[in-house]
Amino acid sequence: MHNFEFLKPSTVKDAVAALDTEDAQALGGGQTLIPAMKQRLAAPKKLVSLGGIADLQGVKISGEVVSVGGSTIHAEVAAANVFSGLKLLAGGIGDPAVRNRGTIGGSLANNDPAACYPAAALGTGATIITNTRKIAADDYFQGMFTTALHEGEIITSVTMPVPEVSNYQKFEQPASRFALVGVFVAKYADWVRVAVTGASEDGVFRWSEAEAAFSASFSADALSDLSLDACGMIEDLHGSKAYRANLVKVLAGRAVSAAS
Amino acid sequence: MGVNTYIEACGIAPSNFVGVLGFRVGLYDAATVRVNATGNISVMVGAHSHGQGHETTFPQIVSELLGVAEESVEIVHGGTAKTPFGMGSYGSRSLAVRGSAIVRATEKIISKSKKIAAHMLETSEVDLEFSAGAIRVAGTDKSVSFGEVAFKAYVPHDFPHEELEPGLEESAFYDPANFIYPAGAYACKVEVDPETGKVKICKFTAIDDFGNVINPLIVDGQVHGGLAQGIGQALLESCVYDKNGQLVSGSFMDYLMPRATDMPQFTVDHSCITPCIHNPLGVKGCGEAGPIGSPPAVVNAVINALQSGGHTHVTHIDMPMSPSRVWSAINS
Amino acid sequence: MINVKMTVNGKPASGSVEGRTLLVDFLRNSLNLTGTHVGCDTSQCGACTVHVNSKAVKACTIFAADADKSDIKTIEGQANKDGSLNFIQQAFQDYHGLQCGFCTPGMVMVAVELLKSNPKPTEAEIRNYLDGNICRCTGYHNIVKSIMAASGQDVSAIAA
Ligand SMILES: Cc1cc2nc3c(=O)[nH]c(=O)nc-3n(C[C@H](O)[C@H](O)[C@H](O)COP(=O)(O)OP(=O)(O)OC[C@H]3O[C@@H](n4cnc5c(N)ncnc54)[C@H](O)[C@@H]3O)c2cc1C
Ligand code: FES
Ligand code: FES
Repeated sequence: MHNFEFLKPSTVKDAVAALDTEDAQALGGGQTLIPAMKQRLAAPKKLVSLGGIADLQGVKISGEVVSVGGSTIHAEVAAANVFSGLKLLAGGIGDPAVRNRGTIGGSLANNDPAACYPAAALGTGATIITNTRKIAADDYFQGMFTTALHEGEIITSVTMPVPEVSNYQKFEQPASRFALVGVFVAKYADWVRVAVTGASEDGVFRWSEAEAAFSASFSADALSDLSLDACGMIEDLHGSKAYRANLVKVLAGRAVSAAS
Repeated sequence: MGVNTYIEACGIAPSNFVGVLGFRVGLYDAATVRVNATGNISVMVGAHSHGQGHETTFPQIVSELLGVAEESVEIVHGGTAKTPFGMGSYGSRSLAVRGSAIVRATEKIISKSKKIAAHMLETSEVDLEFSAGAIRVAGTDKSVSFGEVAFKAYVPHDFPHEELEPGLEESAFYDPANFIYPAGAYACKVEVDPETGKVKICKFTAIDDFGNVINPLIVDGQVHGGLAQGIGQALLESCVYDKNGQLVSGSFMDYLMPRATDMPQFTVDHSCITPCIHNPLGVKGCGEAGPIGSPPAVVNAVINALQSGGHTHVTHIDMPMSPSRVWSAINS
Repeated sequence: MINVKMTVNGKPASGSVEGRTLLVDFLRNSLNLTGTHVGCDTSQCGACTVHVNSKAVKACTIFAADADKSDIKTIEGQANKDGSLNFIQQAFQDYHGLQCGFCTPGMVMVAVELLKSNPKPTEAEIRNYLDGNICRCTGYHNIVKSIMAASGQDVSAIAA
């Protein structure tokens, strides 16, 4: 790993200022960035740890909205009294030690095509709040490892409207424990959102046909006439495109059954 | 449900025989047993222990033969510059071959001890019996303890040095008369999720005949670890190369090491004991049983589950039977 | 270089590290606490697990500088005050919960965290909690059994 300057500011303002140089990068829990730096896939000259900023920590539940601070670790979300789909998702990320370090901000900023949080954000229609603006989840995810974030922009919190019912079904890639496919389903008074991770070469996406079908009838049977085009799915040693397309449908059905 | 029975030729191996097969080594093994003046014992062996528990099992052998406490026996290993030349730990051979060498060397210690005791007790060694850490004149209450003999061996003020050497240290090289033949029957119960192809092992039972068992806890542990390797091979583990010869399962992100959640609670049983007839311990090897016995049991179980679930066209799936392979087989 | 100060196993420890110095390297190379192992270096195996402010983390995936001012516990700090094994370590010994022992420090540190939050875990809960810890030797059987026994549960019914 190449060496770098290390800073750990205690305010967002100082962090933003520290990030305002070339080759500076934010450090969340490091559960993605540190492995990437060991492989020299990333080689920042300056790392700005967000772990010392109290304002970025914690889960707030107020009426219809759950707000999660950008540096909140997965274990804290899993232990909080949040809606069931989110609790399940956070509690199923990686393993206990990963959940004790990895943060929602890091996960969403990284936007790994097999990561879990993007499915919750897109599946609830979350708002990603940064030091400068609010970004709707529908505008935020722009393909695998690509987001609407600008250089040096920090995710300060994520707000999610609380669904009536929700569920997350994850089929683990058996080595990494990431999602081979993960499907998040959230039912609101007037609509249903279905977000899929792990499957597509374009990263997390909404399966609009399933959303329409579930909005009409919130049951696994509603999917029976649907099929997902396998073209554009990821193919690797753990599964073919057709296999992933199948998993999306199976898991979407199971998520609805488990939620209702 | 899948069943598999196996018999393995291991405990390699008679040097004469492997010579005929074209091996360019002999497959004996060796041990030096050094009884120190204080009575504690060092056993030098030419193979390394890296978790198989040689340091526990080998002292049990010496302790039982000499009637000394296990704690007083130390196993020295880790470099053939300082230990007798050995052929290594593999092929389920450590106990059957090296353990037998330890027996032979310890027998030499007993015989030398009798010589020393005969001198101390002013009797003939043929009248002596060695048991429970002491050497007795048969039919009398005259005896010397093993510790006294050891001390005498290193303080030989009155030895007839032409006939009796000081010291109490012996080596033996043991070349097995035959392979050993552990055998077993393994059964595995699985559930297959036909929609995803995921296989869950519900129950796994492994019954082996390892001959005499010296340390049941260690033998069970060897089988547990072996089962995980075999189940790993059947369901998870493989080195995958792409078309350009690049290893694509090069880290644990892609190489599927079995985790605790992939494994069931095992049932193992070693109560069927048919002692090996040609080594002095009557032992057979247990190190490789698990990975030999388990993969066919798992594969048979998966095929049986699919067939009894109506997918009768599935008669074979390549290992590792990953969810995607099982799903593809169902849908082929 | 960055000066760091931590409490390690109840005692103050300090040193000077580079930005890139991993906590596990600081513990092993600067503090000579080599009980914490490095099994993979890719955040998968859990052999390097230590506690940072009472939370189990992979010491190969956190910078020493980021753990500045933290309270660190390693396997070296697990024994009882009189030097005897703590109840989890003792259970690992009693139930043959280790073979080569490479994974053991991580297994024990994760088990300590688990039993703190869940004093009587089920077998399935234990297996789930060990998801980030790889063992090549034991097939996990006796590790799970050791942790169940350490939590005061009767393991006599669990097959050998
Ligand atoms: C063994 C293992 C298993 C895992 N399994 C899963 C899994 O099943 N599902 C899953 O979703 N993930 C999984 N992960 C990834 C884990 O959730 C990571 O924690 C997460 O992806 C990144 O979060 P982090 O806080 O560690 O970010 P870091 O690694 O610190 O950073 C990642 C990226 O985000 C940037 N960043 C960090 N914080 C912010 C912020 N607040 N604002 C803007 N940019 C920021 C960094 O600059 C970097 O580019 C796993 C990781 C490991 C090591
Ligand atoms: S060395 Fe840290 S997880 Fe393997
Ligand atoms: S005991 Fe060897 S890796 Fe676990």
